[in-house]
Amino acid sequence: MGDMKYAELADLYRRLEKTTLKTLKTKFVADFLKKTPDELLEIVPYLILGKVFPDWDERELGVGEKLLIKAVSMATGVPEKEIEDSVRDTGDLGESVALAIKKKKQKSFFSQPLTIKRVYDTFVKIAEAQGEGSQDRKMKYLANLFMDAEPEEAKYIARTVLGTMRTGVAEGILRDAIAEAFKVRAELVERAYMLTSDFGYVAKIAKLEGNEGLSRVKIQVGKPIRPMLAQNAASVKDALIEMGGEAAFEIKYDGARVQVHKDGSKVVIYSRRLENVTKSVPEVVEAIKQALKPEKVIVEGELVAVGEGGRPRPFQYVLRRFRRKYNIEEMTEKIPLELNLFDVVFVDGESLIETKFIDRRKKLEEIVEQSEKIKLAEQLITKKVEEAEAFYKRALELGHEGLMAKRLDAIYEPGNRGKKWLKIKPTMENLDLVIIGAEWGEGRRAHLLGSFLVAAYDPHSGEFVPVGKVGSGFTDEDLVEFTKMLKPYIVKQEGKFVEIEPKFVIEVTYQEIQKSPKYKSGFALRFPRYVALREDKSPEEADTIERVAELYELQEKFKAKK
Amino acid sequence: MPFEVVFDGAKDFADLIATASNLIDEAAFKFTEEGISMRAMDPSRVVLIDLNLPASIFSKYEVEEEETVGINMDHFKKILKRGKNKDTLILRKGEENFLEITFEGTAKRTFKLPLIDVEALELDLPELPFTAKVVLIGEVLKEAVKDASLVSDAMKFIARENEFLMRAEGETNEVEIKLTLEDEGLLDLEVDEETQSAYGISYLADMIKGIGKADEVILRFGNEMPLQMEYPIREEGRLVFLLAPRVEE
Repeated sequence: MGDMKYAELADLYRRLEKTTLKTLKTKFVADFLKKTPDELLEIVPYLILGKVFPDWDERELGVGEKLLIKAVSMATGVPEKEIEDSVRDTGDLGESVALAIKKKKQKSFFSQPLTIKRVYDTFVKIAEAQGEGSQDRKMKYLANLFMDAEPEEAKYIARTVLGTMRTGVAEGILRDAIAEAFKVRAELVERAYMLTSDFGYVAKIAKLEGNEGLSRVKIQVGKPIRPMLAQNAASVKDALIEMGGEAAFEIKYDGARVQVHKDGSKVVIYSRRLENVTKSVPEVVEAIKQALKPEKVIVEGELVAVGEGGRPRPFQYVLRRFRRKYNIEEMTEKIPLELNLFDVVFVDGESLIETKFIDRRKKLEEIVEQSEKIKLAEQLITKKVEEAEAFYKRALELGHEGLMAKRLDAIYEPGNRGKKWLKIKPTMENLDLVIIGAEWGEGRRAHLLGSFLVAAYDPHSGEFVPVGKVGSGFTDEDLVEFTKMLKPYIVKQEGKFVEIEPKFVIEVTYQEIQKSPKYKSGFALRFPRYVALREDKSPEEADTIERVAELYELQEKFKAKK
Repeated sequence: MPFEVVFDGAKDFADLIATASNLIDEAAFKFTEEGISMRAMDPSRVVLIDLNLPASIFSKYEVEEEETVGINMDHFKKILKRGKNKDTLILRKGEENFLEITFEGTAKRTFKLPLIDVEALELDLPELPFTAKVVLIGEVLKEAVKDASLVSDAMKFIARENEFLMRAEGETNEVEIKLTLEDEGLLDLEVDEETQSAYGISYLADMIKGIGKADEVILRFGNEMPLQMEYPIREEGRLVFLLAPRVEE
């Protein structure tokens, strides 16, 4: 009781891979959730997404292709080299693993069919293996699974371990499937997910407590909330009008947005993608313990890298801090950080998301003891355009991005990009786009990918629609690195053009957006130029095609003004 | 319940544990009036280990009540390595959840190893219809496995009426080790029918690490069946491995 054969999950993966129809995928996932026993309901949604843990969970498997091949070799007796060679033919490690299992030579004692619980528990053990000899232990745990896996099961285990599941199931489908499976309202599932970022928890509540339980779901310290987002405004004046004549303006810092959860002496910091980055910023954690007075609290702020004379450095510096796993001490000196807090959504058992922004800000001022590292975002509440414009000018002079304008009476809307918050920035905004294709260079650069086909995300279809080709702005080193990075994700090649699995997001600047029949999106970027790799964004977090349309409208409005 | 056992020659005991620790991370040792036993399987479930140390091989053996202690093999191995050849080894447990490991030699050195929860493997060794029994001296087997590992990752054991062969074939190289009863290295050979079976070398290499060159090793196997490898410890004790075969399709 309480468990399920892993073969059933493998069967779901197989069916999801076979269809491109969203409705069918939703139905498959819903049917599966319906028959999932309660005990597994918290883990199955993530396994369906091809993950083991939510992104905000610190744990990761830490198993690369090499170690995985070793484990398969150990379990089957098929030599590592033979598996590696086979990858060259199949082009897919998952398939090659399945082939190796078919050829299995090594027998074992007491073979037992895999269950979802056993597979998951083994994943947890792999993630938690640390220190001396941990690579070897991880390998043996995996070998233990492969020992008992049928070829198809092994294929999906391999893909889960490497994070290369390609079932096309994203958050939207999972949300709808949970609603369909347990006959609850999709918007309540969405709401509960926005508050907790935990599909496992949400699925369980949906099944056991229905609509009522879902609407009772509250923010929890230790589970990140989806951040409230802002739309663009063309000017300070437009923003003031939109806000109804009065607004709170805050400096829009050029940093990385973070969410801080404090529970007694335990502090956890999540990035904008809700990844746990606590370990990479120990000095900020210490400063937070001093600065935040309540026992339990969730606040939001912008983490800024401070350069000479206190001027901000580009946000990529903060990302460098996040990525650092070793010699963190050294980095705390090289790239000092400062946290500018701008919101509070939870204090000592009380959710504040239904509280007006102006009152949340007051609360924030009460609970924060400012220090060198922890500050409150500079704010100006005004009705006057001139005052706001002067503030805007000063923000830019200080080297920040611009201003945020916030409605005084706005409640906190997790995950929503509405008009209650607006951002004001000087130029046309850069777009964060997904690389979906590329072209091999010529001559000296024949072995390098040169021109990249970039796409915006269409959340309705889940597709990535191209909006342009980016070839300039790259240094030679960039191209070498991009080629190395993208090569494993080449799906197919036609002449010089290669199709690339949507995986990497880059920031692109451009002169203007044009209407164009050239691309399916109907838009094309004029003179696009590469700015930066956005490792902090997943493909689904790239700018949407709606955003491109919106920027086009905005640009036309600007043109009309001039 | 407290116990205390004394083993003369700490290094022999250390070798024994080192061999087992190549294959298993943790183990449950059962202390009874008759002796100490341990049964475990490696994580990939290819090798089963069965250790039996009767009370008679210890110079002092005091176990009042049956008790099972869980031990991290890697930690145990590292501590035992600190023992000298001539040291006397004392294993003691009081009321606390520690195993005290004492080396008595030129000085008295005592380590405390915390015990862990380990589920004892509750299963009997399967009775298998082996068709061949080979008795070798340790050195022959050790050298044969080294030879074979140069060439391949699996080796075949072949037993015929009057010869025993170990063979490995790689992509280019091959090796064959041949023994008849004329050879010093082969002590006994009992064959019901010609028997062949292949085994993974990496497992074999781990299994033979603790064998002394002069030890008598007993191999039993059948066609495409597990290999049972057994060698004596101080004559009355024994360490048994059961290794699952490789099969060709």
